[in-house]
Amino acid sequence: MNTEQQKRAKAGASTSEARGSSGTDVATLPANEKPETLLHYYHQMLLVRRFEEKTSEMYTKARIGGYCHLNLGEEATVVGFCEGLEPTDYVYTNYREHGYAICRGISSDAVMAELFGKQDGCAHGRGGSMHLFDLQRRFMGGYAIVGGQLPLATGAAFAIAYRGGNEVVACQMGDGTTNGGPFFESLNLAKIYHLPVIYFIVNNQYGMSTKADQGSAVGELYRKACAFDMRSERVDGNDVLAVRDAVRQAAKFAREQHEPSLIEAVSYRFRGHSVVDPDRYRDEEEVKRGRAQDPIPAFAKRLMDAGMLDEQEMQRIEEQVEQEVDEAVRFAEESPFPPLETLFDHIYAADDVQTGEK
Amino acid sequence: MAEITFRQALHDTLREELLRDENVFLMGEEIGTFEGSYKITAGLLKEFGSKRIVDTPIAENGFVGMATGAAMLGLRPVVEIMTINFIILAMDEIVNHAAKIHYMFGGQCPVPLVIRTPGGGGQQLSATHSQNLEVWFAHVPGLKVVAPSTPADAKGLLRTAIRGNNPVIYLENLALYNSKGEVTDGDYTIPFGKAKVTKEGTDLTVISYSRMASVALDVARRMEQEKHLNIEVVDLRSLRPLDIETIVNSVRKTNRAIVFEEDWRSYGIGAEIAATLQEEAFDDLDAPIKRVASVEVPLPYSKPLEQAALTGAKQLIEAINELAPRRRR
Amino acid sequence: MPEVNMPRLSDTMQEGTITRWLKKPGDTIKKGDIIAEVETDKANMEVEAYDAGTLEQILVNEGDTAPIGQVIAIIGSGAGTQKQPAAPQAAAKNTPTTANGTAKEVATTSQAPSANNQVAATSSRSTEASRPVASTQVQETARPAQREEALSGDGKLRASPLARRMAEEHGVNLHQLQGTGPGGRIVRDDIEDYLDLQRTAPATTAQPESAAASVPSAEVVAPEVQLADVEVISLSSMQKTIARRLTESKQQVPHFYIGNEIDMTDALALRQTLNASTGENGVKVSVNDLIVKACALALEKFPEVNSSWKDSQFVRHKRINIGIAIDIPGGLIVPVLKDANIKGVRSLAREAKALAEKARSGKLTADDLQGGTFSISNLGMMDVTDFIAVINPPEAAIMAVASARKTFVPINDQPVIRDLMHVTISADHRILYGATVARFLHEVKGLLEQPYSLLG
Repeated sequence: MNTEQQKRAKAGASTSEARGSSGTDVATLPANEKPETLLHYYHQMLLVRRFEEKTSEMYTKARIGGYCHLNLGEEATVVGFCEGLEPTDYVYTNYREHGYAICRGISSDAVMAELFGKQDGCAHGRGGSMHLFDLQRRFMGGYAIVGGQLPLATGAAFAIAYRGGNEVVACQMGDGTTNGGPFFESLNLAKIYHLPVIYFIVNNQYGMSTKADQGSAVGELYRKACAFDMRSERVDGNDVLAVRDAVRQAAKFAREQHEPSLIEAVSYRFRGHSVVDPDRYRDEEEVKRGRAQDPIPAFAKRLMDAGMLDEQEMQRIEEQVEQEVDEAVRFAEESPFPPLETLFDHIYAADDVQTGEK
Repeated sequence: MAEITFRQALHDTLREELLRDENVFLMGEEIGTFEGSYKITAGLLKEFGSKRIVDTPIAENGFVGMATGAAMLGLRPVVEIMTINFIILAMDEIVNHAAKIHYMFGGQCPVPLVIRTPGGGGQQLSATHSQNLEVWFAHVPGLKVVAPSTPADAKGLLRTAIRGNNPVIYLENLALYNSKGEVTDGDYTIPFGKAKVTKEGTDLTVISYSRMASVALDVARRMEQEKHLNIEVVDLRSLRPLDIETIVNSVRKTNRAIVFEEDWRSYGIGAEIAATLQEEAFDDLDAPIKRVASVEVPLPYSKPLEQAALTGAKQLIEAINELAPRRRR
Repeated sequence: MPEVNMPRLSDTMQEGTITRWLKKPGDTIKKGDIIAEVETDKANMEVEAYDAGTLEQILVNEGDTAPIGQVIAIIGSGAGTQKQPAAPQAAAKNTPTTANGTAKEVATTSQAPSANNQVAATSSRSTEASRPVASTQVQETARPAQREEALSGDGKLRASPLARRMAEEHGVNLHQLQGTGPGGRIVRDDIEDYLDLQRTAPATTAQPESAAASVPSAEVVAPEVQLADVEVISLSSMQKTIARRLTESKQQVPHFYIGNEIDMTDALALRQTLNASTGENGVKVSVNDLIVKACALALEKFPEVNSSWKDSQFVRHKRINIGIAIDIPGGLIVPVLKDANIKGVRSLAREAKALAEKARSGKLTADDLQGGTFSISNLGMMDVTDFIAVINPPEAAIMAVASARKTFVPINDQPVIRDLMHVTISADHRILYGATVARFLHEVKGLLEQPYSLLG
């Protein structure tokens, strides 16, 4: 390591770099934020939380099969990411995607039904937890191969540039993804072709059981962008507004300058890698600390301190969210399984379908 | 009608499709400034510009995935992989993504992607530059795989590939680029899943594709003259979907079959053909089905070794002699 | 009352064992509390409470196993709390992890089909060490297909699917053919050869050059060298077939021979009587016709002679069909008189004549040539004192008939001239034994020497 790296390493794997504040500080909210907007963010974060808790329960009740990766602990990152984009922008994610799907506008009904493998799921039961999709909402897929979505997102941005559009593609990924080939090839291609894509790393500090700085030569992942001369920054993943602003700025940069950028949001995974991971490899104290930085009560406190939220409203939102999640389960239970006769549908697209601009 | 080379047929078709549909664009290593390592795309950068003729860095995983993503938004990329040996670097994007996106997302998102790539050996390019890997793709539901053997078929199949809405592996062959053939005018397309009987016969059937189909036809014509053997030749043209009906009808007629393929024998294209024939035409078989393929070694450099390892006319003739019935029809 | 079920904690988990209860009946439970630890097929996991209330009952004790979905505890208002916690049992497993366990899972888990599918598909991987390890069966290497074995002694017929189909369509008995295809199989060509043989009596020449040049076949002997003092003639299909079948007969059938002399004087006289009353358009009865009838009647009495050998078994034929060898240009052919025991001598004569004509003009059908159970080869008109014939497989015997010659025989110690005819029966020693054949021959002799017994 050179001196510069040593200096940084000494500074510690802090989660309060660049912008945003840690959950313990009382920070004032930016003045121009509308209360409805912030309450909406709170609602969304809580919805993701309760939805993911319910997903875990449904998995243990064998309603959901296969693998299931949860956004518990990452709610601020999820909501911030989605709120920084326009509805006309495109989103590609990895497999830890339920929260992103919901915040992009796919109904929690359709997501839960997809997890249950039912016909009314957003991929009609064919994708499952790792392959949610909704073309209308430009949620272009969850992907199970680590890094597989990066070239795709880059290609979507290519199409936008090709057509001279002003949309942006936001590509979410985990920390482990930054060590694989597709990461390097995609960022390189995005830079040489000047593509409007935001590469968004959710550094929850673990790739399964591998610590982020164990698998990566460089612990601060945003620095990898220098290999491509690409604009990049690190942001506190637990600060929903900081994340949102970072994404918004990157999107503006992409739209106006036709250039890609890289954002690293540092957050924390509350539980194991997936619902079947007992998470024995993390230090208990560290996990306690991580959970103590829960972004949801932290944000609630900020709103309360600013007078935008009271106990009653919190309770109301809590009840509303619970109801929505219970409804999603009910919807999923009642939705039928795809009929066996449809097994061979959609292997190929019809050749007479017009595939013009989407 | 005109007689043109296979290379010219590809070039002309690409150019026509670029003119026809603004969503079509080409992507690949050295296709623009260098005009293509096998000169298929000569002149196109000059005519269409760098927006539509996209030179890529050496990053197959990256740019094949990129093409797939662009196809998801409705563009129609035609990707050139310099030789099929390099396609291995893009396997994840082709097999896990392009082939599955339409199905696993419930039919919402077609992927109109074409990947053109030549296979084949024989120029002493050694083991990693001489392979025939089409069977890997023919195995995958969600992909389509075609392999023309003549300029006329090249045109028709390439049009269908580009205009269709599915990911297609379009197999070319290095040694076929200079071959010549008649092509008709007009905007004709050849549907996938239709083989062609390039020579009718009664004594036995040779089933083949790509360069070997061309060799088979030559051999069949010679043997008719010299040995009065009436051999039927079937050019598959399409590996996935496979035209089962045509090959079964042929074997019902002649009762004896040889599959002639450049890839390695074990678990190759011929294995599928032979299994299918014995399933569908068991009672019409008068002899076990023969497979003539390349010797299973990583192809060596040294010329005599390379020649011995590759299959060709000589091996096909031997197989025909062994299989031919005593009585001629 | 909210039930706590054994949770599904991994994609392969079928059942779990409670290793430790962290709460006891009477404890207050909050949603999200960890209330127990469970050992699964992959790891030790925790059980989370999804409901709040008081832990009322523990239904599965520490050390016990339950399939996923089964109720392990009840959380309620507190009213139903167990007074004493159930005594934790020693680490004895509850359910033997055998098929019983699996069956129970299927019964109790009323989950979505995914669970059942898992049960079915992964039952072999379910947990505990007490389950006997499924012994891996030693894979027997498949015997390589027996290649290059001709029609072999085990009686198995090797023929291509096409050849079998053709044989069935044309009523060809595959056992009568020798294969020339790959591995000695009977192939289409062999069927077609055989059919040709039936169709065309005059020798049809094979196509020499193309056959010899491209298919180096062991059957076709086409010597390359042309010597000055020989003339090489190719075999016709018929000749090839004869050569093949009779070689096979001599090689495979253990022949033995029994001969006798038959006094034909009275039979010849009867023949003359019969023919005297034959009209212009009638058919004259030949000596052979009488012999056919005699053999037919004798076969009725000795059904074992009317048999074949197949797969180490005797096959007794219910019909008596007698083949008569007919000499034709380039070879010989053996059409069959069917049901010779039932037909009268004149009918037999008529039929035999028709068959002979068809033979000479090449019009015999496959049906004419099939179904023979006994054959007669008559060289009487060739001035032969005696001879021995080769059995016509798969028949059990053949009779060789020589010329009737005037001979002095002692009758009442006086020399008398009689017409004596020598016959020899060649018999298959796998099917027939000396005494039987001798008796059979004696019967034939008796019938011919009392020729009126042939009429009717």
